[in-house]
Amino acid sequence: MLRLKALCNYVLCIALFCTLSWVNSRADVIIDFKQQSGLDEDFGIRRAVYLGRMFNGVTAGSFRRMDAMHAVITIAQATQSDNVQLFAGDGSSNFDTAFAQGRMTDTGIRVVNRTQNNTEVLRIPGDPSDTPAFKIETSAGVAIHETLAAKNYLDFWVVGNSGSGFTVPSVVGAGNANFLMRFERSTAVPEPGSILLATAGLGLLTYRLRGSRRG
Amino acid sequence: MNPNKLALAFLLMMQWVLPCPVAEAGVIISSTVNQSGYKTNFPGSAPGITGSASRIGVFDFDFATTPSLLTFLQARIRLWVQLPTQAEGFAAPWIILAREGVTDQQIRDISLTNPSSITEHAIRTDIRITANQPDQGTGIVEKKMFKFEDLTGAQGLALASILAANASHRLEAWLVSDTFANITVPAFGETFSFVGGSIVSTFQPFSSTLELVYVPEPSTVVVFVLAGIIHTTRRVICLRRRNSNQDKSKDTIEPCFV
Repeated sequence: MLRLKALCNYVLCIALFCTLSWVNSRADVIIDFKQQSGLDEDFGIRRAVYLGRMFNGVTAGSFRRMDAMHAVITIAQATQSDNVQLFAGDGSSNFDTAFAQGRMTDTGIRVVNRTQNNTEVLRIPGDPSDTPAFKIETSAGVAIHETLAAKNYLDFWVVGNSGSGFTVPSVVGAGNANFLMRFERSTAVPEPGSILLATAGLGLLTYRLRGSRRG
Repeated sequence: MNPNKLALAFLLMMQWVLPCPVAEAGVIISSTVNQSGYKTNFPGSAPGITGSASRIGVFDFDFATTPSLLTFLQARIRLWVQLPTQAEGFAAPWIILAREGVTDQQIRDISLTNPSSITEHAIRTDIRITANQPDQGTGIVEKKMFKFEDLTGAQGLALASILAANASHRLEAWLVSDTFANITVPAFGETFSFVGGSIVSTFQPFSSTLELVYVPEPSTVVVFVLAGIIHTTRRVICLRRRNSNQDKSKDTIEPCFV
């Protein structure tokens, strides 16, 4: 009975340490806000519009990945059939080449205007103040963060079908057309502390189990 | 009609024929409306190319007379639009003037025909909106034509016919390209700023102005009307004089053949 109680305590301690170390590494948000470029490319494969470069000088930190994001973009006439995607990566011109070289990553965000008559500010998946962030797939989150780690910046593009009719302005009448990106970063792999704790805990558990069988 | 009334009628006629705001050999009439924001895409003039037609708005003109009595000489337009930077020269989109309620298909039909073509529903004008104008920018910018563009005789007549056929003298203007789909003529534009960690949006409605230059139908009409007034006046005077002389003998009554 005493051994069972000790076993429970060990398991509880290990779980607590792992949880705490994970929570500590999770609380990290980066945010940037800028005027859109509006540079438009269509070389027959796809139509790509460069939004701009963000997070200049932001250090990536180790063992991290982009976990979730909010995107706020000023755009018009993006339809479902245009299949407008948000890409992040390294390259401020010639999207096709950057994509072919693996320097661009699809965030998973798809952009569709609510109404087709207006130039709108789209908040995806909703307003950052009251909407949970869009979950980025693990592989994409790692890739985007690797680009940030290597370059200390990220370039953003909206990309649709060739010949599609969406437009991305740099100015709208008297005002600037801006975009905003907000990333939530988390641990991509267990941190060294967590690995050590988990290994030690497992070893101890195995030892106790063996001991209980002998005893 | 006494000479004063005659002079007044003459002045009114002259004011109609030669109004003060005449800038260049014609009367300028303008209409400003909120932009519609509607757009339709269609297969362009070449395979794999997508064209587009954006309805700028439905313009409402207040003519003093029926437009069928007018000859339209020139037109110009002001609008808010985002154009691709390649929209220059022969690649620049052009303006189509159409009857109110024209269908997408009718606009597509005239968009893919030769320049200056006319159908019963619409006129493809030679007015082009280019991306290289002085106010060029990447985004929703105001495009102003500083000069009026000439309409051909056939275009002017067709325009008169389209306006006369509508009881409210309404006319739709479209911005059309057989090369580009990425053209936006929005009704509203939204921008945002990021203040104190919050997103603050601003909305701006966009309007457009269409101006037409016209002259009344040939001056022979005016001459005929003036001659008619003079003739009627003289006849009325004559009849009055004859009535006042009824007590005289038949021999003294003068005939009113004027």
